[in-house]
Amino acid sequence: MTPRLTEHWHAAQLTPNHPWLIELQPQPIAELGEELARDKGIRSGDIVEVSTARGSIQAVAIVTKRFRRLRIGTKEVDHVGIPWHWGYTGLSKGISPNGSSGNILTPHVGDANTTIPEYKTFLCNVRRI
Amino acid sequence: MAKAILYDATKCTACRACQVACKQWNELPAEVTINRGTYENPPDLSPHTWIKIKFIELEKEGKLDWLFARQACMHCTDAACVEVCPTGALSYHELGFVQYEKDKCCGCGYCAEFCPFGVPKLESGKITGVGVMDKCVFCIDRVTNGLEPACVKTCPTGALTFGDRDDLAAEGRARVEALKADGFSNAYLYGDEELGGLHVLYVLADRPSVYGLPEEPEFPALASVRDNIFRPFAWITWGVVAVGLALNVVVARARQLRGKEES
Repeated sequence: MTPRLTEHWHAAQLTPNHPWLIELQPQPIAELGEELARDKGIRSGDIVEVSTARGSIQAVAIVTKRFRRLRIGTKEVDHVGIPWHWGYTGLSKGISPNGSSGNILTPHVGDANTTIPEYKTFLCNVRRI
Repeated sequence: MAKAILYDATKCTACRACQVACKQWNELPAEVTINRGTYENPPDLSPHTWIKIKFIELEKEGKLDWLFARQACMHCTDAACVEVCPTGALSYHELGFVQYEKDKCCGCGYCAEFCPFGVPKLESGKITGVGVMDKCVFCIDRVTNGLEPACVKTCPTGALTFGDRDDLAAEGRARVEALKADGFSNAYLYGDEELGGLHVLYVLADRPSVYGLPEEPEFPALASVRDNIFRPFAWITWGVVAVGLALNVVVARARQLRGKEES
């Protein structure tokens, strides 16, 4: 899941150049629920690697009560939230050497009917490093 | 007429525009931070961070609350910092808030020691390890020129309002009643009575301790020692010295006169 934060704007060409905003949200984050964190042995503040079929980035884990394990039909589904806002420029480029941009993970798929790219939800793995 | 800020925690979305607006108006530099596994940043108030929003995740009876609390100087009516400040850098402004003149600060750190809210922070100097204190100054330059403080000006949700303290206290009480009617039975107006009345009033949906605020902030007993014991003691000492000197003059003069008569 790729949400946004109040402190930064879109893919953050502008806001990560501002010291006051980088002070508030300095590093890329991966938010995950307590159940998933327990299964994966991840604690708040750990550096995690989030990977998809397209690529992988590193981010700081935020374990939160706000993310719950979902029960969809008979399946249990966890989700990981990675805000968009870090890349290869700015005062904070993130943790990965290539810049922890959420766009590294996203699929290049578009919906022909709505003409909106499918950047919001996709399959990923998360592990502590 | 005392002025105040009313902070309605139930309307706060923790966008932290107040933190940035404070830094912008008061020309404070950004701090270098890292993410510590929370949205909250910087970790604490500092000489360069005068206001900060605290994030609290709370699960109660299976219901999740994400609470936000403003951390900044409370501008107490009975302020321990003003009482202990030896140089008079901290004092009461006629509009009710605690004003601060940085030029007068000697860096003793008494204010930081005695503040029940842990607000004053000292910059550590390069040589001695202690430097001057800094804290929220209630945007004195704006307030005395008919403007609201920078944090209030920027607040997009109306969680912060500025005005006469009496009006805001009445508004806060009405808001708490409304919250209680909505089922928030622990709703509370913080700062109405505390420490002689704070000039930052908090509308809380729960007990103050849930928001990390002291339930019953106390004026530290030791803070009044200087004014109530040391100062009178000093005056008594001066008095005794003056009386002694006067007596000395009288006795010496009498002796001098007697000496003259005898010769």
